[in-house]
Amino acid sequence: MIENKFQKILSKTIANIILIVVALSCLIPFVIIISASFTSEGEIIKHGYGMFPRGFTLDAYKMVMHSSGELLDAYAVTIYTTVVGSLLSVLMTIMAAYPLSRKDYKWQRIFNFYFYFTMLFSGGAVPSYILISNYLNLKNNILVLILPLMFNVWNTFLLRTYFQQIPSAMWEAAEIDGAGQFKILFQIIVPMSVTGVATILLFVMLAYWNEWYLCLMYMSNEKVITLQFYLSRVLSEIEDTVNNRSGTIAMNMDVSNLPNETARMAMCVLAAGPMMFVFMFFQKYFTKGLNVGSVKG
Amino acid sequence: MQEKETAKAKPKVKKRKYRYGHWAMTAMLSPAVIFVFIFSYLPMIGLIIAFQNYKYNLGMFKSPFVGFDNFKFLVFSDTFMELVRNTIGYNMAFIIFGMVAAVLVAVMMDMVHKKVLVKIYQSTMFLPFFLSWIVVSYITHSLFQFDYGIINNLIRSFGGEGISFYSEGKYWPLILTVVSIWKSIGKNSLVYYGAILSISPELYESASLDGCGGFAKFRYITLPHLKSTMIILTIMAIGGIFRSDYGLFYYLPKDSGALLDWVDVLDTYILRSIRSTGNIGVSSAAGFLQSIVGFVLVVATNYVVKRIDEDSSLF
Repeated sequence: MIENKFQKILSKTIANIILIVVALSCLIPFVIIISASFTSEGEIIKHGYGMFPRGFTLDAYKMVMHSSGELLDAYAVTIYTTVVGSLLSVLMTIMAAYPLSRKDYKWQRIFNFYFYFTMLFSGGAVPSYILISNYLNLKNNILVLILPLMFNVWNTFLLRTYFQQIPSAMWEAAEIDGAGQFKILFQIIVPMSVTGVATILLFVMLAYWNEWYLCLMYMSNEKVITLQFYLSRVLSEIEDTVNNRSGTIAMNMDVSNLPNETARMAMCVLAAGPMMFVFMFFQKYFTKGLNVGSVKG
Repeated sequence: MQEKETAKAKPKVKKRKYRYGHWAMTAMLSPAVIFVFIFSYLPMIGLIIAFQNYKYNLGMFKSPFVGFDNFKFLVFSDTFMELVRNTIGYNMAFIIFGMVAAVLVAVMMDMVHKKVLVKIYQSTMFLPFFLSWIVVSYITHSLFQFDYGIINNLIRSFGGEGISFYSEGKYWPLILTVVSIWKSIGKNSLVYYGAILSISPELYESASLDGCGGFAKFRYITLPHLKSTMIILTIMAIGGIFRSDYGLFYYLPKDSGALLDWVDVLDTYILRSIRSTGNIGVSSAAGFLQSIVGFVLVVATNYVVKRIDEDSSLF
């Protein structure tokens, strides 16, 4: 018995140690980036990147803020697409998930399959590109950063599982009282599924905030680009000049103005930071919210 | 008699009431139906481009058909085998190691048992999930950069020679696999942790009474309970075995030409040909393979799984 207890404590300790290592490996990169953004450029060149800021300075942030109106433009675009896109997207997801969760809805099975099939089969990148740029003519239109991400089948099915857990007596009673479906959805179902809706909202916001792919494909307009894409362009411009490749993009940029190592990291913090705050805010719903989602059709 | 009448009357009332409900619910659903039709179903028609010599000015319906020429060109090109090897190899590594890591983390979280600690671990492991691949590429830059990178600093401080990671391909399979698992470990382990929590504690108690050790419990109780989740997620992943996360494979190696042999996958190949002057026909042939072969694989795996164990199948 004593040996058994000892074994239990030992395995618990080992589990804790391994989990701490894994958790630290997820945390330390953040520390590196943040501390590099506060370190002076000379220290980085002399000692390299490190865990703690040496020679604390705000130079990198000052430089990023002063040198580029582009950064502010990118912020404006990203905030716009994130706010407008997420609100519309969550509304659409809620309205889709509710009928799909109702077993007594006449076309429930057909539409469930209609959505489910797209998770298994898709046209792929080339046809989507041709559709959006040649037939929908959305190239260089800010809508192209919003519309393709607006509906996500996975999120809808996650929310559907939430709605299914609400006892059917809830909406049955409301129906007898003569409430319409919209009223039932927004006054009974949604308030009872705050966790689920919050989880979806977080996912959708994340998708819009971290958007760069659509920008890369459809936006040649320099003024209207997302934050992440701006970040990627800065990185590739630096790489291009460093590697002395004769890229056309690099030509447009004044080499002396290139953000240096620390400024890059400062930009990184500015680009990822807001999402981290959002995460902390949503955190209490989040880990609970994900457990429900089953993908089985 | 009376009973029969009410039984008859009841459905009638229901029907009248629900007629309104059906239309209201269809109305709710319609925006999503339209969006999916435009952005998911319409591109499926575009798969025919794989059999065409696509011209932008002629469009999808007027471009000349060329049979399997695009596929021949793709398959016989020098890079094709390499692309397929990389794509499948990376995906297999992500599926297998990703699953093992997620299950192990979930099991260990269950062992820890202290709610506060589990919560802290979970939230911390979720952090990378919120980063875009571009931000992650900045992080890998700070780790692997030749002059100032942390790993090279460490190597040098122990008296070794710095490694030029961005021009030597052989390190990248490991780097990309680790980063890929790192980014999704929080989310994936949460799924398995949820499944473990749903196992009845009585099972473990009675196993303890029978003298089962920790490993035996894992082997005979936990693992069988996780099996169907593991299989379903794997079937889903197999459908995407020809697809890759473009951001991971494009931004992390910084598009460095020296690494291309090791990190070029079908998706980076396709995207490169859309964005630069490449051949649309050939890249849509590659896309066609991704869609059709992926779909066939999902259906086939699901069929096999269904024959062995009905409950674990996806559909």
